[in-house]
Amino acid sequence: MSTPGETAGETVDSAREMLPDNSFLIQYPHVSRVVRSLFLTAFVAFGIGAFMGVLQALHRTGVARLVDSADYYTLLTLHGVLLVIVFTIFFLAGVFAWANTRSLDRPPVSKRFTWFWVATMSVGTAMAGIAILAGLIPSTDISADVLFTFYAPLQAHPIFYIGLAVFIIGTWLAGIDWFRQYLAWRRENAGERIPLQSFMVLTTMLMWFIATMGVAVEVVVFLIPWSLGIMPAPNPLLTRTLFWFFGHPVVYFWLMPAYLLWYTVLPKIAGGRLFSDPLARVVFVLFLLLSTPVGIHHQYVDPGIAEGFKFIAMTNTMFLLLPSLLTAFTVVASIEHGARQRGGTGYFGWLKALPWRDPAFTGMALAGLMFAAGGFSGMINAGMNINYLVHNTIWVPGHFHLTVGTAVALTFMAASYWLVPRITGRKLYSRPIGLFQVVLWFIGMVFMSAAMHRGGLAGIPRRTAEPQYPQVTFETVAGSVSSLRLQLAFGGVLLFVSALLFLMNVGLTAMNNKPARNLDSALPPALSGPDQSPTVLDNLKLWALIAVVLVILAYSLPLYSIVQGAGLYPAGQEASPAVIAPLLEVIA
Amino acid sequence: MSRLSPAALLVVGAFMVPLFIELPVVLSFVGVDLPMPVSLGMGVVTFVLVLVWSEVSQSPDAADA
Ligand code: HEM
Ligand SMILES: [Cu+2]
Repeated sequence: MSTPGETAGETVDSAREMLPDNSFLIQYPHVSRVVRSLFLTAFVAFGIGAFMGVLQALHRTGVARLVDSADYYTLLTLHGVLLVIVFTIFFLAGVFAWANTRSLDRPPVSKRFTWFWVATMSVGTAMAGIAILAGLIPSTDISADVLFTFYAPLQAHPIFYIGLAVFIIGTWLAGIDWFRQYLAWRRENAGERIPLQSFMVLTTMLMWFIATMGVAVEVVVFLIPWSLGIMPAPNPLLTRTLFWFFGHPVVYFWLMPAYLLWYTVLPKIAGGRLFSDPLARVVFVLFLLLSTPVGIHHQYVDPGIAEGFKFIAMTNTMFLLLPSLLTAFTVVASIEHGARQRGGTGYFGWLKALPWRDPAFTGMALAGLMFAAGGFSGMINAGMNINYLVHNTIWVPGHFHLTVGTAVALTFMAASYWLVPRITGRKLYSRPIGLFQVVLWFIGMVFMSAAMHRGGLAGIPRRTAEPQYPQVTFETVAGSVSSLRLQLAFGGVLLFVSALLFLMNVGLTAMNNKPARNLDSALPPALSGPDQSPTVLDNLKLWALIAVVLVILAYSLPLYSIVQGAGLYPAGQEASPAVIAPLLEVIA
Repeated sequence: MSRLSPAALLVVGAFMVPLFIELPVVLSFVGVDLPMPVSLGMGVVTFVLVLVWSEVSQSPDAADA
């Protein structure tokens, strides 16, 4: 056998020479390296997270209990944090670094700054991850079993909160990097429309800057000082409200990169063009405006928040459906255009002309389809009155495994099949395995999510290691609870197998000696181009300002009344530092 | 020659899964009690029928035409 290292180097080097000059890897080798390193972290987190997922699915259904029930929350925290904070955000940072560079057609301003934010995000992640994992080692007193919704009164080790803060700062720096890149472009292109992908990156990051204010205050002002023991426990309702101030918009932080891929990459893969550039811009502006002033819809059952505020949050949430419906329309229209370009005809016959063999296409299409189902169950969650029926039941994980767990995660996997060859120059290891993998994710999720939704309607709680109670029988609409359990566990196993196949396929792609071909990353112009969209859409300052005003309107009164009601710290406790209080007593 | 490519079979099969998982729920609204295993079994049978339809070759002259 030849030494793999040498042959790999030779083949891929000569392959790189064969790549067209306009391919992303040749033009921006440095950004490609940044994207590769972000993706690597994302995929490692995805693998560990998926493993926790299957453990939970088997455990809570009683099919196989491989861990102690007392450790369930450690697994669940790891699952939540690694998947929805690490996997999603590292991956989207890679997509944004690629998209901003590609569409502005210029590299970031400073290589060193770029690596600085990558390192900041990575250090923060490592700290938070270590704090959670240490919970499995009884001999340490470090743990962070507070779940990915980290608010008081559950308390984690300070390393966890400090790691989160460092991570968030890393994402801010990333946003600053992309804005600097854009401003450098602007200096040379005064008066031009912001390229679409860059517009999407910038509006998403503006939304993120606003959204993370809530979690920054929660973590830095309350949780870190409390976990360090220098301040008393904060008012739980206050930390919950600050968390959800961030906790709802974070879902759009996951989703908007998926939309970016649906709007700009999917039409290309389908052989067509984006239907409408103006509509895409409107959608991203609407998300910037409406993502944050809705967070209270996660707190419908919280006592201490007046019903009127909840009602306002519900109304805003229903408005938020609009950009998603616009997206469904635009994306399907673009795909249909692509199919007709490929010779598809008839009312539905064009569906046959789509590139179903391509895992990137099929994965994104299935992801979009599941998102529609997730949207329906989301409307149930969003309704103040019917929310009571499903609140804190396993229905809720059923819902968000369709949205973040499929619409986002499956889109990211599918996009990887398209993007990884473009940032490595290596050929996708196996398209058939890729296709099988994305379809398997869809099937597994249908099993798991349907069982979760129906179990939730029967009242089965979420976040429970052993939801089996001798005193209670859950009443299902159809079938028995034991069949639902099997269905959930079976779906979980399929999902885990799919995740393994994905990781294997991208891993072997990264090591593939065969050069990638046809790596054109140019995206075709939209059917209705930017010249047809009002220039006010590009006025980012205006939209950011309106977004801030909406947030102030939605949150100032609720926050004021929460602080009025129970104070910053629970009644009876002083706000003076807790370590100083005993000293004062001794002196007195 | 088969009518559906392996990829098409995979996608068609995938789309059948949600239908047969939700069928018992939909039927329960009209008072019909269809056990989940029966529904899934019907799904498998349907898929096998699609497979047979796809794989059993058309008559030679039809194929020529
Ligand atoms: C192998 C695939 C997966 C399996 C088997 C799986 C399984 C599960 C199960 C059974 C639960 C509920 C646990 C409980 O409430 O007691 C859960 C929760 C959760 N899952 Fe997954 N999941 C998978 C993939 C994902 C993905 C891809 C994401 C997001 C990108 C995700 C995000 C979450 C979140 C945020 C929770 C809630 C954690 C909490 O309650 O704090 N999961 N998962
Ligand atoms: Cu929400």
